[in-house]
Amino acid sequence: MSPSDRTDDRRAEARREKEAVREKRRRGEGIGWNGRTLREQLAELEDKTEATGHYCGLSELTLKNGDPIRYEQLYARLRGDLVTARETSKEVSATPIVEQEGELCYGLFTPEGDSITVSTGIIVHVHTMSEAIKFMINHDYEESPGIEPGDIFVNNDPHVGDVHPCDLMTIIPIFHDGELIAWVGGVNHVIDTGAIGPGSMNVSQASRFGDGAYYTARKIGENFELYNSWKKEYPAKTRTPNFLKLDERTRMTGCLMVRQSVKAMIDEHGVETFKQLAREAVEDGRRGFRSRIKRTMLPGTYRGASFVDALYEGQENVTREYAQENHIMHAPSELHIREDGTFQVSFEGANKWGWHPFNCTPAAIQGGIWVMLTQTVIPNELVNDGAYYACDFHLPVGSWANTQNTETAHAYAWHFLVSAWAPLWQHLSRGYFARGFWEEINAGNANTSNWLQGGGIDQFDRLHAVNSFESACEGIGARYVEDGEPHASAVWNPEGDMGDAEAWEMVEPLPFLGRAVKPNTGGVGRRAGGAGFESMRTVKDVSRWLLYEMGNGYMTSDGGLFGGYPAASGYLLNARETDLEERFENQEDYPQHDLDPESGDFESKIDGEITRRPEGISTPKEFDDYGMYLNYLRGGSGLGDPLERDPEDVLSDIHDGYVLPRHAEDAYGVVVEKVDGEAKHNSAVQGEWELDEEATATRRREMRAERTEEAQPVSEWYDEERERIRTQNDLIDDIKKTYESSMRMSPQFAAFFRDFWDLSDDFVFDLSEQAQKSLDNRFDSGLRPMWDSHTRGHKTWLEVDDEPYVPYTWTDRSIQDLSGPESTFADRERASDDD
Amino acid sequence: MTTIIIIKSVDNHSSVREILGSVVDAGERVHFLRLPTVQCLGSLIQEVNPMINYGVDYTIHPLPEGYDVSTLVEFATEFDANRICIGISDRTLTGKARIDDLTQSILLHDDISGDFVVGEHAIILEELEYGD
Amino acid sequence: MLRIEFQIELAGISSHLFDIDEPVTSIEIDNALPVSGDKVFLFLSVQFDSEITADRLSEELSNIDVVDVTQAELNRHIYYLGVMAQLSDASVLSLLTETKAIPHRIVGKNAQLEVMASVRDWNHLKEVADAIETEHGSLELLGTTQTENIGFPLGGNKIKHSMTGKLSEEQLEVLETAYQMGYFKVPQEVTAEEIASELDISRSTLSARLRRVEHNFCALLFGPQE
Repeated sequence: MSPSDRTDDRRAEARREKEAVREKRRRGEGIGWNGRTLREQLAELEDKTEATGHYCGLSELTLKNGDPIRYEQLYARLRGDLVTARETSKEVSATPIVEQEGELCYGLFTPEGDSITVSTGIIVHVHTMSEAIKFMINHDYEESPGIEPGDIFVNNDPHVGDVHPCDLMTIIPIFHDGELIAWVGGVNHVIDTGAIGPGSMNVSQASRFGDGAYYTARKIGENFELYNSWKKEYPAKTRTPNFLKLDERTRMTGCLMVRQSVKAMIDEHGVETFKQLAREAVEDGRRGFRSRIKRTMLPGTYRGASFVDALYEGQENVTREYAQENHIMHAPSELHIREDGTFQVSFEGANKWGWHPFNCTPAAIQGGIWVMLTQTVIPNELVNDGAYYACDFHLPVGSWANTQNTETAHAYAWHFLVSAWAPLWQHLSRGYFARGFWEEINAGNANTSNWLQGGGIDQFDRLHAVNSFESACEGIGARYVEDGEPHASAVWNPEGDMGDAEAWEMVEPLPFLGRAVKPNTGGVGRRAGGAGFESMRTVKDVSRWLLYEMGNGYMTSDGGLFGGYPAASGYLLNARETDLEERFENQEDYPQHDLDPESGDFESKIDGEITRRPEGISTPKEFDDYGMYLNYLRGGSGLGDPLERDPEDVLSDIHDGYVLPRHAEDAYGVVVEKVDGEAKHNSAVQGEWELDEEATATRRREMRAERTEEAQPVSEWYDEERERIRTQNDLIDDIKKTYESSMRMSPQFAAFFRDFWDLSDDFVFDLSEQAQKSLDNRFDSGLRPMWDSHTRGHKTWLEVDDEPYVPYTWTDRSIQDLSGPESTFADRERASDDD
Repeated sequence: MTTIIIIKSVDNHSSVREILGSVVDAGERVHFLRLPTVQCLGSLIQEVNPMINYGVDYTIHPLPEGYDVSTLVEFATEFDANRICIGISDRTLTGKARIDDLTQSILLHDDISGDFVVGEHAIILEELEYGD
Repeated sequence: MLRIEFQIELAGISSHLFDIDEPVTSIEIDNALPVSGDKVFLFLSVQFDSEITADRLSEELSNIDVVDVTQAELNRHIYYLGVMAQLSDASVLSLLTETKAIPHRIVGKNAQLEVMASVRDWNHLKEVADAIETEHGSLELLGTTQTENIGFPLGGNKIKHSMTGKLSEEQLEVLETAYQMGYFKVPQEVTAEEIASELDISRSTLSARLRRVEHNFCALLFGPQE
């Protein structure tokens, strides 16, 4: 059958199916099951699920228990088909973002929008597409514009169901006999969103009106054909229309493949089996999640906090003067694990949203937690929305985590999102440690940057934008039993790939000068955090070309675990108006790397306007041919005392390019001596070293003695800290503003903070006029609730008072709310019939 | 016990709440019958949450366009309903309930009989018996 | 209790009266008194299309056993008749009373008989409806409302009887609405604006009508102003 035959077939099928649906509607029936509308079906499902504690009231998994092999086969087949759809459709796309790095993902959803199974890839979208579907249901799309066979929907609105607007999702309904039996959705990250700056995640806008185009759950096609009125719509609004068109075809391809697979399964096994499988898979996922929690964690409250910087003071090119301020994200987090294996993630105490593009919505946070969970708690169990029904979230309204504000920008929500997870990784690790699952422990890798982005007129004399996804390949946090994987993946795409340099060069007028493992990027520890890497790029054959950096700068969000150290923080390095062309012509040295930033090596090999700054974010600046740009991809954090790292491993680190020789001693207390000046084991240093065991032992003893000298009792340190805070003498304005913002957001946090540091009841931070004004302006902006798809799961975000399960614990320890000092999970068996 | 609740409009929240709260007991079965004038009961269910709040098991059924009272009585007979409830949509000036046409038709139907009770927001036909 | 309003085909004394040459607009049974045997003494209000002389009326009613004829004072189109009729000529009335339903109004107009009555409960309703259907073929239930008290049975509302014809429809409507909504209660339950809004008339119209009603009442009670 030729492709066009198949298209015709599909259209004819759509028309037939539509007739069946329209016939039902004439009889007053909805497109749901047994005559119900989708919204009735969703309402009933949520009602039943919450009332019974089982998804859709399923206390028995009859299909699974009755024929477990068949159940597993059917599920595996569905999942396999989704993976295949991704692997195949990936090749349709023209951007290396999708084709090389795989920033693409598919999900199969129940009619009510719960994911049954997902492919590999950017599985943050396990739940975001789910939210988009529920939005459409709750907003009566069945009535208008109508949901019929062959319809195509698009969404990229984080206030509906997405992380940020550059993740475009295409969603299509799957019908059988006039009933909607499933949805399939595909998401990919596009190169450009038509924002005020080029690239997918612009950094210089103060509000969402600079984020690029938002499409809020729109119908864009029928009969499996895009409307003519849509075909130009989104692509034409961006700098990279052809890429976007192909991206759309990619998503359509995958969706249609999945639809085909579902239809085939129904043909073979019947629709009732499919329906039962879909329902049971979600309940199974829910149980699996809870049983994993019960097996690997302890009930109670796990606390932590993380920070990340987003500095705009003095930055050029920011769209509003009032947006030229420094931001620090404050993410105090609590993980409440209940005795029934469900949990709540609370960000009570998070500070206010800001005029920057790093704000998050509930879909972003939820999606983010998913991605984390699928690499920690549930790698073996069914990855689907069963987990959604086992978790709830408390996201303070008006905070950066849940802005409920029409003005906030979200282009790079991930910046705050990933940084906010750092403590969650560690909470899980502590649970694993306590229960003995040491091999699951990971110190975490919060900061997945740098983002190389930009655009202008490219080498083909066309308007273009770039967005390097080498960042899919960061260093991973150290494990308990092993070092972290170097330059391996990003937490948002566990299957990361840095992509071939040649592939990037085809779509970026930025030739590679070098690409190497970057030393001193993984956090030191008994187990080292995975090293990051870097690419040195130049610019060629461009005009009006802009480039910018985006990532953490001064701060690193991970703290290191069990005595390990955090990954290295960020910095930016670029050069404009260079003499690189002459150096090429004269065959002189030029920088290929910046592997030893302190050495001055880079500056010695190039002349020009060099910018080397400890920040991580810059706004778009113009670069000409032969400009240079360092793309520094971060490392993961370390675990355990560095002085306990095996000296042989440190020696390997030197030879592998993970640690500079001089840092072997100051970081690890390992003494090495150079025995060969010629050998070149890595790009960072020339030479070969040998271990001096005795000197190492001595040095380590000395360092321990030094530690003892420097160490002070916590009480002493506490008093000093308290004095600092109380007098506010050496606290910078930005820090004070951050805490003041948190305290204003949350009376509980404020009470906790004052109580912890034994401050007066009326203690507030003294802010500069500017900082005060910034806070006042933002708090006065008020709320404009954007999230209006009121599913049961959202109840915990909107009304603090409604929360029935765990009270705020910043002042009262929730351990008191467990059933007793010996409280534990009720049963350690895998949850079977009834939890 | 099985109860049929006829929904004529999406604003029937108070009548549904009254029926579920004071008439139906937890654990009983409820059948919601959606008249063709109503597009969807989704928002009503989301507001009221019959299972969470009242512990009733329920099913939603659409009544087709062009239905007549016999269709309804057939439903009731099929489900062996003990009660049929419908919200009060119209009142006299003094606040007395005006019985709607559908309920009137049920009252006059040969194959069904029982007790007629008026609540605050709903009309309840109970102790239903079927046949002649 | 249920107050029901239904419609059946014109029958009995009403259909006889509609058969006469003079065009009749409506016939209402005001009262019925038992007579031994199978007869009943009926009191009717008959409204004609135009003014008709007493003589002409007698001529037309020659095949009916008319006991008394009086023309209404204010509305010269209305005649009050007292007739001796067979029970079968007032079959709806007798069916209602036989089944222990309370009749309130029986009006013949537009080729239909409109009946308002009260029944005890659902079973009673069925019983009454069945009885009427059996005798008259079909019954169209126009409306049913919940009620708690009987209200005025047929013939029980003497004052209303004498008022009808002396007060216009609009005036009666205004007065009844105001009364039902609690305008005359102490403390007042509703404002004039609310009543005007309910009747969809202006405040000033309401005012004027209420005063006219009050004036006419006084005229009836006390005679013309001195």
